[in-house]
Amino acid sequence: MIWDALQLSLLVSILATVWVGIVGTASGLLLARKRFPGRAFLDLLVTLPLILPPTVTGYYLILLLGRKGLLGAFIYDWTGFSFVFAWQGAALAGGVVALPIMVRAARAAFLDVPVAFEHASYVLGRNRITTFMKVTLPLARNGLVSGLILSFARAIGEFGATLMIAGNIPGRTQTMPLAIYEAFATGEDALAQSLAVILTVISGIVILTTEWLLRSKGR
Amino acid sequence: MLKIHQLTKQFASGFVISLDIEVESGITVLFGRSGCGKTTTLGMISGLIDPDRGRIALDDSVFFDAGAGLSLPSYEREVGYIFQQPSLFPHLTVDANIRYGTDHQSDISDLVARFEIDSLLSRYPREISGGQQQRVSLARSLASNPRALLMDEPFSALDAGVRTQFQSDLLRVKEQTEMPILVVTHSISEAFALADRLIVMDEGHVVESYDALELFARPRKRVTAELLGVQNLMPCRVKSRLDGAIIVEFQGLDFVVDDDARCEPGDSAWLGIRAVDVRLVVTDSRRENELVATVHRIIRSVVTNQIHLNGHSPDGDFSLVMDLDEHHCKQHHIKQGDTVRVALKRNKAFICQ
Repeated sequence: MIWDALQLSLLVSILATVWVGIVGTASGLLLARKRFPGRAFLDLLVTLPLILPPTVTGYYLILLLGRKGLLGAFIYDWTGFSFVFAWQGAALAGGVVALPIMVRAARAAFLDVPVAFEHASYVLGRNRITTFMKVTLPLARNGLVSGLILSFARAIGEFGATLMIAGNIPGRTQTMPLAIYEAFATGEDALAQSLAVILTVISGIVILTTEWLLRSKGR
Repeated sequence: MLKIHQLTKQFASGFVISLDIEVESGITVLFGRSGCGKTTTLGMISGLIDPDRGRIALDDSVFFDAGAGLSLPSYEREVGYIFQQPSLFPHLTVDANIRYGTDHQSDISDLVARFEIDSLLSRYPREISGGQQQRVSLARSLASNPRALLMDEPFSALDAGVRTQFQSDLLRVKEQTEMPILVVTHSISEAFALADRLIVMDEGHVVESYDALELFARPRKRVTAELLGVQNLMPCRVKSRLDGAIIVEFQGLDFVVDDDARCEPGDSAWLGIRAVDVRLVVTDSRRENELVATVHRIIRSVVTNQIHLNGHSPDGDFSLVMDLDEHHCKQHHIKQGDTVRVALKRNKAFICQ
């Protein structure tokens, strides 16, 4: 049980960090660099999960992606897949609650990159994509990595939204926080304690390792 | 040749830039006060700022043509741009910075040797001085083989000694290339040191553009003369023209000026002369172009002293500035309140509108 929950938690958090890393970086870049209609709405949308209780976020996710949800119905009709009661739902929920953190970190990181460097790259004959990959991204790296670490931390600790959409099925959707809650609620104090310690240690290792990598590579 | 034709850009503040410029090979200096639209002009040429109307072309390639709805992105214009701040990529070494705009196999050893930056290649921008950074930035620009070079106040962030060095670097680049180089500055001495041709801008418009030495010597417009640091500009009336000379009346006195400015007897004009070309008269005999005035104030400086003079005449008061070095000030006991005789050099004075 410990092994299942740990494995699932890591899988779910890594997957959540990957998709939120991409979506959050793109949104952060858009918010930092562009003025466009609907900008305020995008800002609001990616900030809401920070303010709403995770259970409410989870509830909205069900409305949107549940088997009869706005988008979920289409996905289910076309593929037979649903996020509800699936580990993918946990990865989705973990990412959504981490999104505000990633967007904020990415936006601040991109705002910190002076536009002059991008201009310098353009006039040296490099197009937008090359400029982004070779100049903007490396210069925003530290901020983005911090965002990714915090997003991972937020995703691995997610409880409410995960419970709402993915449920608490041991071996299938039961992540570490859910397993800890269940062990504690059913009086298995020793198990709850071991799980809590393991989660703490793993989280600590992940954060220290990333920061070490960042320091050794970052100049 | 870089041709800018009827280019317009209007800002939300109402400020309008409107330009017709041709930039030939050699160094053209775009000169004007801060905020007159010089940097925006470079931005429009390089494609970093979109103009509203007009056309920009370099030789046979069109960069921008509002009529045809064409605007080439910056990265396809092949125009080098040296920014006021060196803007070297902080995460890349000097070597990688120079190679940034090249295909990475290209040989940069010539450039590196020419700018004497061999020893800096493995360093990061923050590990080298401001002057070195600006040289690397110039080398980086040249490495990508630009077809024109734009420079925005490239000396302003440099110390005086380094500035002279970088100016000589730039003059050497000019000798080795045919491409047009457009340098923006608001410093008269930089403009004088570098320019083959001078474009004087004010309030978003070109006031005058001409061969630099000629324009420094004889600006044709009063605003140009003011911008180029001519201290003495006096309202006068054209009396008559002789062969190669113009006689004007100022304060009821006649002045002879060796100039071929376009003007007719009866015209109102401005008589201009730099402080350095106003002479103290110490002989008893009356000199040509002589005036009598009172020393109002003496401002001392390292090279020369500025003597501010006030005069009275039936036509009203006038003031004049004369450069006189400390040695002559002492020799002739010049002090505040003295009445002195001064003469305007006829071959250095000019007439402008």
